[in-house]
Amino acid sequence: MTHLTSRTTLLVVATFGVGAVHVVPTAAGAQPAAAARTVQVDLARDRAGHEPVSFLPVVGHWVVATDAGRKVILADGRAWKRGQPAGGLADKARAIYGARHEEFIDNVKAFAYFPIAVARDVPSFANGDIALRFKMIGGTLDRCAGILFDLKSNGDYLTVRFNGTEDNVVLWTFNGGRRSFVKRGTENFPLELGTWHELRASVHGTAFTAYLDGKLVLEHTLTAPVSGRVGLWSKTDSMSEFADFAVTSAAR
Amino acid sequence: MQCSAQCGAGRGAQRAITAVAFLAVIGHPAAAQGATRAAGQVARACGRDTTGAWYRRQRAWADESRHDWSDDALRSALLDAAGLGASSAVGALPGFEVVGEQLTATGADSGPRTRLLDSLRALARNRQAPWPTRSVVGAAGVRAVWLLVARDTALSRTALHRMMEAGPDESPPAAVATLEDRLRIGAGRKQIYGTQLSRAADGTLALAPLEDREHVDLRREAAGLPPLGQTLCAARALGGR
Repeated sequence: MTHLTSRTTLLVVATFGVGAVHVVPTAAGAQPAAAARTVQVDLARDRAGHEPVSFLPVVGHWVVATDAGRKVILADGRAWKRGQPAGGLADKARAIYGARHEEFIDNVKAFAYFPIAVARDVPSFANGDIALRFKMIGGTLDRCAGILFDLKSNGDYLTVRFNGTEDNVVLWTFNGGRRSFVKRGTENFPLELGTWHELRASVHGTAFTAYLDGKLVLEHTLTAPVSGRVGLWSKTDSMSEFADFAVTSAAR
Repeated sequence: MQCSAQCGAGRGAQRAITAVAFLAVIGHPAAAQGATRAAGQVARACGRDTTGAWYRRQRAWADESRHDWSDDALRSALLDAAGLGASSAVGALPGFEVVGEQLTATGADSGPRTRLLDSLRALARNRQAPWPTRSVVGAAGVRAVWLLVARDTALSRTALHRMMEAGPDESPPAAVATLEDRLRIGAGRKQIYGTQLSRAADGTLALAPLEDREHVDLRREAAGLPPLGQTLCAARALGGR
């Protein structure tokens, strides 16, 4: 797994499925109160050919696949149908939002064009970096891969995504069953299918930045600080692979 | 190219045969009966299975037996402008076309066609205006639009976006894939479905530059197109050497 930030001072490896968390100090003399922590999703417990356990598929069809011998998460849009939440949505919503899951389900159904999978063991992200690598494979209508963040218990969320049919990075907000454009990246990037790329979202208070393959592509001032769950985002029939999902939480 | 020894049976065919056989495959009335037979022979030689999922999917999409479109007048105008007969069935797209020889609406430009193209351009400029998709003009009407926009790159680009936005129930994925590849090659990019073949000076057909060949059949299957190997075999047999 790739470590995505040089600011990491503690490495927290969450072993999903059993709930064990290992904290490994990586820099001598770091101050715990101000330390950043990186949670890197480990797919060791996920089984190829099955629905992931490290991410909870809420909308769309998500499966663990292998790519060059290593496990990745595949958003498989071939099975996408309009308005189709993932199977077992109620149970999954209950798993992450408990008694408040009904509002979440209603809202998520309104966004069923957009497959999402929630990182099971990242209960909240407010400040820091979220990074992943993605590889677009196909999709007749869309070829998207994105970072889901600020997911609330009512189903509202933000996403920053790359769209291979538009060749751009865009920040979107989803509120009350409505998707709204926030900001488009500064330039277009015609990425080739079948190649890996890194997308990173950085949040510091209301300052939001996004990076594609290490290049700053989008800057925006959010209307409010974020606080919510995080995960993977896709769109309609996109076939996209995801790997190396990492969340580096920093003090505000 | 992947091609069985049997593909050699069709080598030496002329460029025109490719186009006419293509017409036959897509059910265009301009296709001669002989071309239909030629297409059938090639299909047998290259193992094209018309009971395959891709074929059944395209045929199912094109089924107009329910007569469930809303604008008969526009549909008739589109069919007329594209040179399609009012009763012509929409055939399956074969999964390839030759760069610079792609099928467009037949016949000379006429007043009605010019007016219709102007109307499509007006629709293209207005994002709120409904694009003529399956529920509006039926499968044959959508095919007519696809043929009509082929000569206008800007209009083709808008048509592609509108077709993508409309989704697979309203726009045939095979046509979306072919159009996207055509526009990508035209813009100097690599294609992603392998639908575009280029013809060398000696008449040889070759696959135009393709991205991510590893997953191309996955994409073709999702778009309702036959496997690339099968398509290349058929294309070569029809018009390559």
